[in-house]
Amino acid sequence: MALNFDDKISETDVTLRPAEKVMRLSRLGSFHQSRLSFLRILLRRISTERWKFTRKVFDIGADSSGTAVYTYQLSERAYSLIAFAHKISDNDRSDRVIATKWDATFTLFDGIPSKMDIDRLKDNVPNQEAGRVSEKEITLSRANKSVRLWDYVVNCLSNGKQPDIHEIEKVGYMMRTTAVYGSGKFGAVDYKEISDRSEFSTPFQAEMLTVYMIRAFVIDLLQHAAKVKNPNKYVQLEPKFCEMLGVGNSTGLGMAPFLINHPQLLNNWICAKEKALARIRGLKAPKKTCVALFKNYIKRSNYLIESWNSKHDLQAVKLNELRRDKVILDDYVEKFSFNAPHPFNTLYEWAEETLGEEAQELLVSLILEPFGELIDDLSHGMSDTKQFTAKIEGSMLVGELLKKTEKHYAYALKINWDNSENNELAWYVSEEKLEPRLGNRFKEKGIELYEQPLQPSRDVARMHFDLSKWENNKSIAEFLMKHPEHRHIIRRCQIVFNNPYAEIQDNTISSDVIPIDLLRAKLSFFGAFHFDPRSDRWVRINMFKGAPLPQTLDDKNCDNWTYPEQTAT
Amino acid sequence: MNLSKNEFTSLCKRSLRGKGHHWGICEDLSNALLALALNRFPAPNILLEALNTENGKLIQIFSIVDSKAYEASDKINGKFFDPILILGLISVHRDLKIPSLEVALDNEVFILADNLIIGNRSYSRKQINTIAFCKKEPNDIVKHDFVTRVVIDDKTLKAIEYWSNLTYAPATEQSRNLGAGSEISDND
Repeated sequence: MALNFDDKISETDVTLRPAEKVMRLSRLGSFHQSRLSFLRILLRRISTERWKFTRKVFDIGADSSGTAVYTYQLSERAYSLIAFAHKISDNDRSDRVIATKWDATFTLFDGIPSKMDIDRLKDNVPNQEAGRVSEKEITLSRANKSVRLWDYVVNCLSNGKQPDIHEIEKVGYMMRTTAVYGSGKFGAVDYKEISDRSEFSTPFQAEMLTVYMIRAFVIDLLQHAAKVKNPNKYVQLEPKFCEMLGVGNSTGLGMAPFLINHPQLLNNWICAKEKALARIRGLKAPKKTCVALFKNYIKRSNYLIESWNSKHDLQAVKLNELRRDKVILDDYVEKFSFNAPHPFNTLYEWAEETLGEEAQELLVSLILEPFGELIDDLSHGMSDTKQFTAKIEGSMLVGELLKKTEKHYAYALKINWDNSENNELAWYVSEEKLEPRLGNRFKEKGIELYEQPLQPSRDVARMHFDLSKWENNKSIAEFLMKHPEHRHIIRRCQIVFNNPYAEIQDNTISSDVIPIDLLRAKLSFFGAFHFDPRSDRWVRINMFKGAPLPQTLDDKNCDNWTYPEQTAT
Repeated sequence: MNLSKNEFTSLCKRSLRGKGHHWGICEDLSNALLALALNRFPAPNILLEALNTENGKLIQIFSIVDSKAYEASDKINGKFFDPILILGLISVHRDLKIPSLEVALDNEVFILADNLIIGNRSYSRKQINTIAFCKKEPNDIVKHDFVTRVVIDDKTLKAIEYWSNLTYAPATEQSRNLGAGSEISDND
């Protein structure tokens, strides 16, 4: 999905938002889910293609450990979630990569597993990174209970009562995943081997499918625990409560490097969203039904904001600002005339001048919501199957590379790299279960030796320094023979020159970088809600909260759930 | 053991980095090795050879792809180490719209057609002095299937992992406390 900075969307006069505005960490860290998020795309596909959901196996014992299998049957193939439930002690429960035990472990199986498959996986999936799966498996995952809510709800149900809605709202999930591995990890099938299947043509569809099926399993496991506790008195959880429960996710630094390591993919995601926004801003007279729907979503989004809690200072400040801005936005939309030409462009421009980034990005997601017919096709361009194989154009001349670098990386060249604060952090991987970490290079002696290439701004500046000593008419091939240390960054620059949203336009090793901004950008594209940072490098979120369950998902409710109409009473 | 393509390229990249190669070199060599592996060449052993070659000696083969010398020249003379790697590099780099390419590493002939690398899979010269190129009509090429997994024996894997393990920072208490999630209890 290559485009140039100055490209205009053909059907409109509205240019795309410039990369220097969109690709700042503070804005990326303010992104919200939208109808172009991956889990939204998945639910639309499941309902449109009428996939059939069944529970094939539920062999769970009185101690809530055992095996379950859930299958989605498509027209030509099937996918099964194989779930293993475990009994673990509270002391063993950790969301970190270095954990070795979990309340439940999962794999997404390509087809319907035989008993032999399940036996093989029983020996491996519970061990996660220490086990091996095969080409028959697509993802590998695990989850931990929200102990407090789990025990509370099991107690309520086993006593024949429904839980208090406010207690459910406070947490929003019964289990949270702590990793969903795909793309060939630990022996699973490579993404490239399945990327030609239409259901996986959009990124992370297998991972989203895994989480969606985990949600169904968790509700069954919960009700099973209540039944075991008091078989004569227990009641099922009411459907409205089931739908209120999403799947939590606990995400640390491992996700942050992904966006830096996949520049082309990042460009494609952002580009799809920016094109969608530009298409709608460019509508001279949008349909009245869409305008009415937009106004409706503006109102309904308040519930989502009200139920969004975070005790972390970083997010608490942003939430306060969002709540304040949302009042201003609601008031403005109430009085706004959508009969004037290009109303969404006017509205967006007003928001950019008036509101903070959290509210601006919420507005972007809300603007996209009613216009599925106009923008949903953009999801087809969000993949990138050529990742890591970008070729270096060695025939490019030094003069051209310099000129383009100065245009696209002006922000990086302005940074004083001799200032230790601008160069303080180093991304590295620990030998301890290969956990990704971010350390202070001046305090953690020796970590520089293990530094990952996750600081494009600094590396560009170093490359530019060496390149500027060369004659303009020399080729990059010649330069690289003398300076092979710049090979990775030159490849990256050449990607960025044609894909402006490929680069995060900030310093990723500065003392004041906030890694969760990177996490949130990626998680918003997954479709996550309720970002709740636990520190500057670890965030909890909720996925599928409010979504229909597989048993009730259809083409009427597959999209109309993200801004629920009801409020907690 | 058989590795996914993702695992194999990751192993290549990390081990080459552990050997001290620059990141960009690691990326390209990993892609080249994967191309060889998918064409049933013994890529893990070729990787091990590369890891046993002095880093500086490998650099020269990159000029052939960066300058597209394989398109512009019939023959290149020089000292080329681990020459089989050049097949992988060109295979990944070349424009697939152009005709098939015949590559002679001294006197051993290989053909690159689409993503295929056809030739003697037991070839293992450490150094050559001449690489010759010529365009090839695709008519008489016998095609083979690609593999989807890379088989690697324990001994070779262990030897490669010696290098990849050098890229991981030692586990220390200080580092452990800097990991995401170390600050507060996970349980809620």
